[in-house]
Amino acid sequence: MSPTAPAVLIHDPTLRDGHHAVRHQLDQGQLRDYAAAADLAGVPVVEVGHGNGLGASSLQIGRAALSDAEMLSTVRDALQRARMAVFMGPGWGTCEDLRGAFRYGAQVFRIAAHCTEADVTERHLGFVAEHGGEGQGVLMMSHMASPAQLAEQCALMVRFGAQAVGIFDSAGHFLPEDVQARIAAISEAVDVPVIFHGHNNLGMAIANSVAAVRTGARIIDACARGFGAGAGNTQLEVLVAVLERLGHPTGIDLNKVLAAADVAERRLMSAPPFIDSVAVMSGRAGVFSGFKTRVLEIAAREGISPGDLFDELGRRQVIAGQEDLIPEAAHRLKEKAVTEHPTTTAGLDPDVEDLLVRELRVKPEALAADATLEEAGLDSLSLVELSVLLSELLGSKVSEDEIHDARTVGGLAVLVENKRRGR
Amino acid sequence: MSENTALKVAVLGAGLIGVDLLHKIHRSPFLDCVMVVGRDSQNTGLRQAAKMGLPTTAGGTAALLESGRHVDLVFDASNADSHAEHWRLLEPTGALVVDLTPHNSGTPTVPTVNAVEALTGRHLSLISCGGQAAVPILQAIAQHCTPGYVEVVSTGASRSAGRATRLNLDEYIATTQDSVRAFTGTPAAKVMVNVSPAAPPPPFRVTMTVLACGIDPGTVRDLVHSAARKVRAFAPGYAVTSVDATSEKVIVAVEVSSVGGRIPAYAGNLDIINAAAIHLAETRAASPLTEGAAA
Repeated sequence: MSPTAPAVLIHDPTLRDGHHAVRHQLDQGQLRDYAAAADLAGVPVVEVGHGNGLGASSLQIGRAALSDAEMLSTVRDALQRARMAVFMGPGWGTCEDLRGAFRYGAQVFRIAAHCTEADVTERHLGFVAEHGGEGQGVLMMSHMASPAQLAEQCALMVRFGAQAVGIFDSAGHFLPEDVQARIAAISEAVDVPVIFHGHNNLGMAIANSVAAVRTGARIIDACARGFGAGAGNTQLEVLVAVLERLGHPTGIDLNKVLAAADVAERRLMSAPPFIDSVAVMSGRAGVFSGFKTRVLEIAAREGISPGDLFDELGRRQVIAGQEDLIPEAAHRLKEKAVTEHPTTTAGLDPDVEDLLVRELRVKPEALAADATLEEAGLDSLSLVELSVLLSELLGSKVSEDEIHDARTVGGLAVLVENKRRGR
Repeated sequence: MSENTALKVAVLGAGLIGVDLLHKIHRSPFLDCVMVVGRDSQNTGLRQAAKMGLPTTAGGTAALLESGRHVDLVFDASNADSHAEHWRLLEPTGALVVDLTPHNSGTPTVPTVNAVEALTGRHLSLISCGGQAAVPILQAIAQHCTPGYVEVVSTGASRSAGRATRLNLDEYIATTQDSVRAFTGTPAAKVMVNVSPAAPPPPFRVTMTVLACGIDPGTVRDLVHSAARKVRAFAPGYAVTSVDATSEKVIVAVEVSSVGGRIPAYAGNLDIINAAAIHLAETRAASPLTEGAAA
């Protein structure tokens, strides 16, 4: 064992990131049992909260079973030695939420921004510093930015008062060399400890964390059994063993952290996260890991492939917090599938096609899926007529505006199908 | 009023919002910009204003007052922290003050909902860009049902969010939540904001979720579309992209693009709040207050 290898501080967000895997539904007993076990193992920092942190419990991201106050006070009571951490993204939470976290005994405050948006953290890092907490600045979805950009953004957060800064591989997209380039650039640019937070979509979480340590990161995030969004995070107990072999002191007792991981597996999850096909697709597409459950649900409902949906979200460079785009992206994919359907005319319901051709005198050959309604020969007057005829045919109101918003013949086909399904 | 019937206006702040506002004022036959006020002569927005041939000062609101120019209306496009001071200085002048920062001290005003009523006062708040996009729809839905919970999530492109916006996210959230509660009667409102780094930049998007009992999907759809049509009368890039309604829940997404202007299409957030500001100013120009018009 090399006595000269620098110490690494393990930051454990099991009770925050893991929430993504269980729709933010952990209860007080679960929080208490894991926090106590991690504390006993000598894990120095235990983070708790909704999957997207303070203030993020919502219909958009998912409602948590417990309030932030309940989560924090439960974990605070279970910790003897470990410091308690919270996570907050400006725009999701506010200074009011931070004030609450101080009240419930949080000591480490992670203020998060997406890769190139560090200046949204200025106010909140300032607030944390002013109130005597340890503020850390972290950049989510960091694969969307270059090493130089990330270094610049991290330097900015240090100026705002962050006492540690770093990057989250929120999509599990990085390979070790990507991490090395980024951590090296950040380490060069700042004189505070550098943080790395991995996800395991491409099976790289441990390798990426080791790459981060080798290029200068000194705070590594890891979760028991990898409990976290998507394919899970860097697996805590594995990381502790690996760092021990590499000679980096962590202050964590390996046997006790293995016991804590057993507690986590038994108490927090129905099964430990693993790299299923969907996780690989989301990692490859570079989509936020926390979208997994929502993507599966919506893909099933719309009858499309979750892989295609992840690719579409990746193409749109959707970030965490934009869950509202998932149904819309699914809708567009379906519209495209109709458009590309080779055998029928734009996938139009035969009754509707009949109506267009007979009643509105649209030429059948004009009904190409990607033709706009105008190109198909439907002017604004015929849209009014179509709205009346469709409403009669389908037995539910189809407004002129809805038809207008469908834009193309393919869009009209989807609108009709959705109406038929009562949506 | 001067012999020229155009309303004399001043703009405080020359950031992303202020500069776009200047261009919109320039296009309006009813408004005449007599001063652009900043605090830093090196500010690129202030220099742009000077290039447009507009009188500028880097001396803040005090300099505007010292200039002795008659001003009928002041747009405050600075930042939430400065607005209270601006209003304190401007209140005695009798000018109408339209606040585009999320300071939340003026009468919350949404042109299609309460312009006439609000214009009887002298201090209007335009809430936030998300508020301008969401309230017309939410208020329309609340005519049909009693919302128990309302959630609003807005996503703007990184390049359309200036420094003041980024520093004022907390005020943006609080002010928008207050207005959603006030305009819909819901006891609980939650507002969230995303700043997207995607390239090319995505359009400004606002998704609203309303929980209520006994919703009739067809009625709600009609209300939503007709509310949107009214907004389009002054903000043509405002479009409903989806309405998903059940008997207990309505989800409406709108996207706003900036059309035909100087700013890029994705910057619909700037466009909608500025279009609202111009619309209110023009409404005032068309029917100036008779009582107490000191000048």
